[in-house]
Amino acid sequence: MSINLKTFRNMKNIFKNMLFTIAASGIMINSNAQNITLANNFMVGVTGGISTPMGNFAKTDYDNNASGFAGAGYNLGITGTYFLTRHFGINALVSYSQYSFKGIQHIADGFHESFDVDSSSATTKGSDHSISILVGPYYTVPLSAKLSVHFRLLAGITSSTLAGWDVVLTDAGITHPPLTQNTSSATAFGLQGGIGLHYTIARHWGVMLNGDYFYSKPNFAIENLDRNANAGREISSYNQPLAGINVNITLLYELHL
Amino acid sequence: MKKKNIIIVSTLCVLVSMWSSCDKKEQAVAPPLPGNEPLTTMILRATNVSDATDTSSASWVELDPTGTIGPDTSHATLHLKVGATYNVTVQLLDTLNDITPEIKARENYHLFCFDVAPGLNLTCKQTDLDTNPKPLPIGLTDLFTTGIASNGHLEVTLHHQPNVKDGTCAPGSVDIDATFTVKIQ
Repeated sequence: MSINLKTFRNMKNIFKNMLFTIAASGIMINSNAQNITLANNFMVGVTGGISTPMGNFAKTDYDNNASGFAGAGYNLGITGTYFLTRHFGINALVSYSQYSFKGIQHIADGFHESFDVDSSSATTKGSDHSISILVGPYYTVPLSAKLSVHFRLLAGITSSTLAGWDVVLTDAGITHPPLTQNTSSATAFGLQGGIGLHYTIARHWGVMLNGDYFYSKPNFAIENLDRNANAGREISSYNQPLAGINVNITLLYELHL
Repeated sequence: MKKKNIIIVSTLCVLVSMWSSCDKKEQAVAPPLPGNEPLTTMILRATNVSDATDTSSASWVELDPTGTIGPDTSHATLHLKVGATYNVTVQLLDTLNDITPEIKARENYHLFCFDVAPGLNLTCKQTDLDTNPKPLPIGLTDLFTTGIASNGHLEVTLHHQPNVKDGTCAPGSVDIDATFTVKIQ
């Protein structure tokens, strides 16, 4: 079945108008909306999603001591919001984030070159992960009876762990003892803020889709073992922003206290 | 009600799958690189500490990396004076380039060792130090001290000691092994 050009243009215009209407309704406060969420003054939920590190934390340059070798990972947590008014509330979030290790091949290649050996093998130790306890303001704007948009800015404590690695050098048939960068942990002030959409699926149930920027800057003291030669990548501290974007889905239970 | 259940179950499934999906150890191997030029030539240059005009040099060449042909030792004799002290430098070449700067750049896991044959009245001591936490000898520059007149062999080896350098010749492997004749007259 073919669609003629006029029909296609009409559909395109209708679609454009729909998008404009949705966008406009996001800007204006829809005071007439009968929002079920706002009838409830407390909501609690489980949240999870994809965490994408950015900046130095995500770099994989062997020769750059700021490189964090963090790749995309996931986060899981529990969140709760208590509404003080129709639009304004206090949001709390306890979450665990874990990132994949990106660029282990660069570590192996870098030590291979640094020590001019026949081959080298690198294996990660532990993982990059964080536990955050954050609290902050939450502002919601209803878009329709079931849909609302919200903004939040959270601050608190983030305890993070940086992955380490073992590198084994092999040269002229001799396998040398591994060089080790141990995992290390540090705690710092943490921030998270973003925007999300809330959709009410039943009287007490809702789902949220969130996009948040997260940031903390812990000062890790790093222990290195069996480093006899002053060669190859060796850092004794790491004080770079652990930042990135979380995209989450949250399952909420809403109630009126 | 049915729609609600589908959304709740789907959301929970997504969360659980994330929890169990990405906690694994990563590993990578950097394999040997083909085409590295083997070291072919070692040159010793000696200058008398007390008399700069008293110099001697010797070169040891082995162009066949398999060792089948054997080294060219026609210019591998060092002539030194009795009871003298010499500053000595070591130079390394492959078939194309001077490799000495590369060895200098990799000084923290390289060491030249000198094995003097019995009967040859010569002592050798490295005078340069690397930049390891505890500085260790390298051997690109050395001090040779001669005794009474004698002849014999001096075996010079370059040891590659990745992360195991401790100032002794034992750890690691040997990158080049050259034997010179030394005549002290």
